[in-house]
Amino acid sequence: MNGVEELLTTRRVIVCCGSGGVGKTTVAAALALSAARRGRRAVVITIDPARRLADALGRRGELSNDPVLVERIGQGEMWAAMLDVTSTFDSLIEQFAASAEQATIIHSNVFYKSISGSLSGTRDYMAAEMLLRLYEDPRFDLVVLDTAPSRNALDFIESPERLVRFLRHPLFRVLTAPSRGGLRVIGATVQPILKVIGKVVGSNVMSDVIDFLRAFEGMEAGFAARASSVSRLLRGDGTDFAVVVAPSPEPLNDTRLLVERLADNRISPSLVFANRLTPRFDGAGEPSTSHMQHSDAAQSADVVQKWLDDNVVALRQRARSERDLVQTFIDHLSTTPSHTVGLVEISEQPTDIHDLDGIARLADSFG
Amino acid sequence: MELAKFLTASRVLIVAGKGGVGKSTVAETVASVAAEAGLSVLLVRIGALADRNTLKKEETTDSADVTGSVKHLTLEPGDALTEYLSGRGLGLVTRQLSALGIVEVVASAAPGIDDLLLLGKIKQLARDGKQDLLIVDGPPAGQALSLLRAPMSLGRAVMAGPIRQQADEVRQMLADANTCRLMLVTTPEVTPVMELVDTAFDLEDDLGVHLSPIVVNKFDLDTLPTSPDDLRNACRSDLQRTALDYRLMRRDRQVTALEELRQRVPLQRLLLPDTSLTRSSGDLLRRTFIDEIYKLSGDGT
Repeated sequence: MNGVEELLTTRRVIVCCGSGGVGKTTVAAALALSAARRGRRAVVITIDPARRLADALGRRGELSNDPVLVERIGQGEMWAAMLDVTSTFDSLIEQFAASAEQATIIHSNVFYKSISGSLSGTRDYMAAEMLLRLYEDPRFDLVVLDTAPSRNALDFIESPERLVRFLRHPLFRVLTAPSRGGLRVIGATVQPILKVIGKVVGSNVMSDVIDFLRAFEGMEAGFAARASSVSRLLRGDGTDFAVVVAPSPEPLNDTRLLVERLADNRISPSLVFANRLTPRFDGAGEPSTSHMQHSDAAQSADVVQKWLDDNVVALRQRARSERDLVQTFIDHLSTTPSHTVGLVEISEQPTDIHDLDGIARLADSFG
Repeated sequence: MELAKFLTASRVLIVAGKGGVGKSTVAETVASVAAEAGLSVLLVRIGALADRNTLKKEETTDSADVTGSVKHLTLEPGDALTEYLSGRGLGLVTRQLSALGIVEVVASAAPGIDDLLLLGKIKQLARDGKQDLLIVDGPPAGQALSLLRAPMSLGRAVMAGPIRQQADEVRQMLADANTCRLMLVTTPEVTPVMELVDTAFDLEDDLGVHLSPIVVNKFDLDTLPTSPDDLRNACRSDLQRTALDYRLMRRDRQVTALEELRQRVPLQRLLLPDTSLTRSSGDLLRRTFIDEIYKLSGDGT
C-alpha cells in the first residue's frame, strides 16, 4: 500500500498545511474526493477558498459551516464546508453559556465582537473546533482540513493550548474573581500591570476586556475541556498531516520552518504533495546540439529547429531543478531514520482548477 | 516614464503578493535598480514566520548590513511591541511583562497592535529620511491586507492614548501618495490575478493606498522565432512536439490571465520574465524592469 492509499483508507483526519498559493485547497478537496471514490464518507473544510472554487463545491448558494453533499460515488460521499469563524464562536458560546442571557451579554460585548471576527488566533482555534465537531459527526468517517495561510501556519495546532493558557492566565483569574467593586480591590501587584496595559491600548479597551471576562465567568472549564479534546485529536493516531508545496524557493523555505515547528509539537507529516511541477519531458529522442547554417532558407529552418530543441532543454532543466528543490526539502524532513516522508508529484494542470472536473483530474493523479 | 521619476515618486514602496509569485525577487530587483540609479536604498524585510502570538524576543532584532548601496533590515512584529513598550519608559517592566505573558495579553486585547507598531517603525524610518527609498518586502498578500488594515481596525477599537495616535499617523502615511505606494506582484495565472483584483480594490477603497503599476512576474517573454502553427509543423519528434505544446499552452494561459487583469484593474502593468526559462537571471530582471518603466505612460498610474 503506497502512502496516499494508506492515508486515504485508514485515517480519520487529514490536515493539509503549507504556505499560501500552493494549491492547498484544491489538494484538500481532491483528497476528499479520492477518499469518496474509495467508499469513504469524507468532508473537506476549506478556510478561504477562491470564490469560483467555493461556488463549484457549494453548488447551490454559498458554502457555510453546514456541510453540503458535493458528490456521491457508490458507497462513498464527498461533502464540503467552509469555516465561518464568527458563527462557530457564537455557537460555542451558546453551548457553554449557563443561560441564554449570558450568551446574549457576551455576543454584544465590544471586545468579543472584535476578537470573534478578526483576531487570527480565533480563526485558527475555530478551525480546530470545527474539525472536532465534524470528527464527532456520525455522517462522516474522514475529515480533510485545509488550514489557513496564517503568518504562522502553526497557530492552528497551538491554538487550543493558547486559549487555555489565556483563560487560565493569573491576571484574568484576578479580574474574573468574584467582583466586589471592580478594579479597586484588585491586589497591589496587579494594579501597576493593568495601568501599563491601559496606558498602551487605552483604558476603554481594558474595560471591554474586563466586561468580557466577567461575562465569560463559569465557561472556562467547558472551553478548556473542549480545547484539550481538540489537542488530543490533532496528535491522535487517526490524524495525519499532509504538507502541500509548490516548487518555488520562497514558499518552500517558509514551509520548512513550518514543519520544524510541527516537529516541536511532536507532529511529523507523512506525505508531501509537490504541486504544479513541470512535466519531465524525458521521452525518447535527444534534442540535437549542432545546428548547421547554410542557405538563408535552411538557416531560418535551423533557427526554428534550434528554438524547438532549446525549448525541450529549457523545460527539462526547469523540471529537474524543481525536483531538486523539492528533494532537498524532503531530505531535510527525513533527518531521523525512523521517519521517512513520502512524496506525491503532481504535474501542473493544463487549466486552472475551479470546478469539480478539475478536482477530479487532480484526484486522478494521486493514483 | 523617466526611471528616476518612477523611483522617487514616494519615499516608501511596499511590495506585496502571495507566496510563490516572487515578491522578494521583485523587491530586490527594484532595490538594485534604484541603487544603480544612485539612490540610497533601505530594503526592509518583515519576518515571514514571526510568531505574533507568543511574541518571542529574537536574538537578532534590527541587524543592518550593507551590500553595495542597498541596506538591509529585518523587522519582527513581536519585537516592535516590546521595543515600543521599552521606548515609552516601560523598559524596566517590559521584561517582567514578557515573562508573565502579559505582552501576549496586550496583543490579544488589541488585535493588530503588533502590525500597527511594525508600520509605525516603517513610518519612523521614512520620517528620519536617511534613505532616498525604503522598499518593504511585505508579508504574503492576505496578511499584507490585515497588516495594512491594522491601523484602521485598531483606530476604531481604541479611542484614545498613544496607540490611537500611532494608528492615525500610520493611516495618514498609507494614504499619502507622496510618501507611500503599494506595488502588487502577481504571476500571470487566473487565480492569483483574481485574488489580486480583490485585494487591489479592498486596499484602495478601505485605506486610500496609492497603487503603483502591477508587476506581473514570471511571464514567458521569449519571442517565438515564427508562428505557433509553423513551429508545430516544423517539429521532427514527439519530444519537440509535447514540449512545444506545453510551452504554448502556458503562454496562452498567461496571455488570458494578463488580459483578465487588464480588463479588471485600471492600472498599468510591468512584465518581468520567467527566469527559469533563460540562462541569465539577475541582470535580465533588472534590464527588463528598467525597459518596462520607460514604457509606462503619464505619471505611472
